Amino acid sequence: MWYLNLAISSFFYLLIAPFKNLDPLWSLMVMSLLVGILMLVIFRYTSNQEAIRKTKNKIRAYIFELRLFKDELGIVLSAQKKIFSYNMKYMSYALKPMLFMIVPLALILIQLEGWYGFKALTPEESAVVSLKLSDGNQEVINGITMTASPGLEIDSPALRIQSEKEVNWRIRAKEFGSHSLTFNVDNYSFNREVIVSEKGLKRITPASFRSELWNFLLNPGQKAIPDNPYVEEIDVSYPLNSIKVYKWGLHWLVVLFVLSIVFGFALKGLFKVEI
Amino acid sequence: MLKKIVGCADFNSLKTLLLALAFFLCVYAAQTEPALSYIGPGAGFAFLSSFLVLLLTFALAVFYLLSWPLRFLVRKLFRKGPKTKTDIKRVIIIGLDGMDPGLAKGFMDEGKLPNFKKLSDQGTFTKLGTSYPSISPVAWSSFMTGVDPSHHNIFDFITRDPCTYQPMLTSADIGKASNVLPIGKYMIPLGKPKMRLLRKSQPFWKILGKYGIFSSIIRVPITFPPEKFNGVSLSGMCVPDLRGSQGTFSHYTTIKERTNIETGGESRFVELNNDIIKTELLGPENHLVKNGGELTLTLTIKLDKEKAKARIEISDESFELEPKSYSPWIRIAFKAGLGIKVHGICRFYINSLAPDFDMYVTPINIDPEEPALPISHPFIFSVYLAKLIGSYGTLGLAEDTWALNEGVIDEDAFLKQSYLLYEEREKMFFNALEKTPRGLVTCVFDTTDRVQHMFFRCLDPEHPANRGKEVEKYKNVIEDLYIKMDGLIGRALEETDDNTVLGVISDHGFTQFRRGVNLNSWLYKEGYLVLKEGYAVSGDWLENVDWERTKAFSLGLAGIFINRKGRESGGIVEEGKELQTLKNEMIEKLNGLVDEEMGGVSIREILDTERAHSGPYKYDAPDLLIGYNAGYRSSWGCAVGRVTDSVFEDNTKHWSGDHCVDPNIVPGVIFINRKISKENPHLNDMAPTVLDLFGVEIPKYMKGTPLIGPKITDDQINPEGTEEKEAKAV
Repeated sequence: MWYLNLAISSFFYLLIAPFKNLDPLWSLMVMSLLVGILMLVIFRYTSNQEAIRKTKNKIRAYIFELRLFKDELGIVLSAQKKIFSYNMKYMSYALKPMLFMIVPLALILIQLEGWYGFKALTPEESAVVSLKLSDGNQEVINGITMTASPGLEIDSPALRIQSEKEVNWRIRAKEFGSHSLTFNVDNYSFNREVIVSEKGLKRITPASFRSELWNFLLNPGQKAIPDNPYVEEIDVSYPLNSIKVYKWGLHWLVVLFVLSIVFGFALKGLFKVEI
Repeated sequence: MLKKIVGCADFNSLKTLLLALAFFLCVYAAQTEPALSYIGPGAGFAFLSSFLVLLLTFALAVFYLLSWPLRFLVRKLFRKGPKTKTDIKRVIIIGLDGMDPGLAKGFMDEGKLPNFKKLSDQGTFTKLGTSYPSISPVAWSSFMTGVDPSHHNIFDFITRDPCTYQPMLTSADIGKASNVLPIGKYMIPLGKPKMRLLRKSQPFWKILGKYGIFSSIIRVPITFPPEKFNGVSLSGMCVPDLRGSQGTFSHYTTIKERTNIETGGESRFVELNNDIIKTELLGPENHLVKNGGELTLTLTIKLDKEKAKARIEISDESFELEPKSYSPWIRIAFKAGLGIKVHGICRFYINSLAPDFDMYVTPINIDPEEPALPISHPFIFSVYLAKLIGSYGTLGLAEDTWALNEGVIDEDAFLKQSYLLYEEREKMFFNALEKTPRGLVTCVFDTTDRVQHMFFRCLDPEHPANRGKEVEKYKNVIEDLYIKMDGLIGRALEETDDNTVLGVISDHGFTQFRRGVNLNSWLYKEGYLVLKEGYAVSGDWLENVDWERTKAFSLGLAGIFINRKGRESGGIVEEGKELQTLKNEMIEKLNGLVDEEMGGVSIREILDTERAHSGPYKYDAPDLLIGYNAGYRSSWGCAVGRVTDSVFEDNTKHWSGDHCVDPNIVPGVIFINRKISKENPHLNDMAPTVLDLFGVEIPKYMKGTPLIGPKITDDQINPEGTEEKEAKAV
């Protein structure tokens, strides 16, 4: 799983690397274009193109009917009914390609979430670090310690919540760079990377997991927490990122959604896809 | 494939695993943060369009519903109301072009046309007088305007350009945009191409529209370019193909001898290279580029002899086709430049695949979904029909009679093509019935005309066109045609109620066309037409005619033009006495003209247009209209302005039946579910009849009179004197 994860993450790293020092909107536009094309290809080969074409033609015909026979109320209402019914049919034709799109899209979105979902910490910015345990043993919880490498400062003493099986700290970024937090639990020791940066696109992974599968899904490109009987998850609460478009800050997913659809519709003729 | 790659024995487990993963991802996506629940443009593709469509239709419906009272009020206030109240809600007119009363009666008597019989029993079946000349564009123009040709200006399919003596369409004038902006090699049109309907007067549905009565008019001849009125119309006869002609087919063959095509299309000799043929399809002229020539598309045909089919690639389309079957309409686009495309549709038909390859392509019809020229009113109506029923033939003369005449397709292929077109028309007609619960529905079916033209010979064992052709196999084609039309009438009858008037009419009947009369040759022999020194015959379109010495000539099917001074550019015959003397002289000589070889009279009567007609357009018409005898017609050569060495010739073409004769020989028919009052109804009466049925005032200029009087109820009928009572009521 790790190697698959590494391969996918490296692929995305290669795609995004040329744009790392530009405004994230640029790389997101390229990603949207690629996503749009991928979806077009999947749509073309997994949908019943002929049936979609015919259904869309019927919908258009009945829309024209509203205009052509506008003085006949019966015809207008009947056309409405038919438009609705053909719309349902059209949506049913889109279900199958949608199912085929889910797997690759989920993998893509997980990768992009790492790049666009969060911002790195900036100097003097603080964040909460949570260590989640599988067992709420009081003795183990009380013995957990965390140390920070230079460039990070631990701002608060550990807050140990036995009922939640969780220990929290507040840290403060001091210097740019990739820093490390070290956790000691019983006889085990774990490291967690914390990124402090101001400019450029960085892959941020707020959570790392012991479970290979969860780690694969939510922490792409990072190794899972080494096998141990205690720690399940380590989170760093990075601030949420937003993509600046004109003067609005939008969630990256909104930008991807709109742009990939725009690209998809713009290129459907080129790829000969009936959407 | 996947099984091979993974080499896994338990493929089902892998499949299950993948499905489980997909399911897991869905659940995961649905349960995590909103950001992760988005499943991408897949959902967008699928649902965005639907959502927009629903939103748009909802908005439109709300708009139409809310504005309906206002529009109703505007109609009431500003539109004329009918002069009398009437209980007629809908009038349906089915035009069966060329349906012959004699044949119809014969088949009815044999019990083969039960629905026509039923219609006749409900009302009337009788002959319907046709126009002079009895040619479809003339007759249908009289039908829709209620006037004779001298008032609507259509005397034939073609006429001569008085400036050049060259042929021109009588119905429409289509030219380039008047202003163009030359930029480099491009000629950018600054406006729409010039299009003018040359038929004068107005169709009666335009008058109905002024009274708020809606009409659906499907494929009535001479409705191109389309006119504005309250209703929808799809143009019929005279709509050109994409090349601007009245139908130019394409033919590809590996047999050199079969490339010898005289009229109607272009044939290409093609060579097979590893079972692949690479050639091109000729399209329209490229007016966007200076001296652009004809646009072409690469056509690739890959033969699969084992499977006995071919893969055809053209434009962006690729499809397989078996011999002896038509492809569906294939949408093609010619690139003119600057991103501009000219869209057309055509069907492909492989005559033979091996050892010799032979393929026919129909004329490239204007694509109804993206029409290069407007072919409907409103413009979107043709698009609407295409979206609803699929692509359909738009060419005026869509059934390719010339392809059969030239032997490019056989009789079976022609019949298949005709009935495919018929099916499209039928769908349009029944859709029009559904969408026009009130008002007028008129639809003209050409199948009856085209099939009779091409198979009339089978009713006459002695017909010269039968030589070397199959007769026995096709002897029932016309009967089958009438029976098919009977089925159509049966279905139409199901759509009628007491408030619906259903009429079936034809514009003319039919007769045999055994012998052609070349009036140009006759004029030449009599000294009225003079050829330039050294010529004894002429080519097409009056080639080699010495206009300075020519007094008369013929072009088209209707008659003879006098080379009148002041009217024709090289006219020599003075108006007045000289003109009248010349006409009288020719009438005298031509009347009863005997075909000595066959011993029959070829011409029954000659009409002096100026004396017979009173309308404002008689001046430009043929000066003498020829009433041929049954069995005769203007010869093929004469129609295209050729002078040959003989006046009479056998007609050996498949086109073996005709109606361009004395109109008294070929009346049309009328079946109507009402009793009619007039003894000799005429096509001119149809327009006043429909106007009267809707209670609309009949314009004074119309020549006809209403055929139907007040309805007689059962209790009014006196069994002893029914006829007398009906007559009184009328």
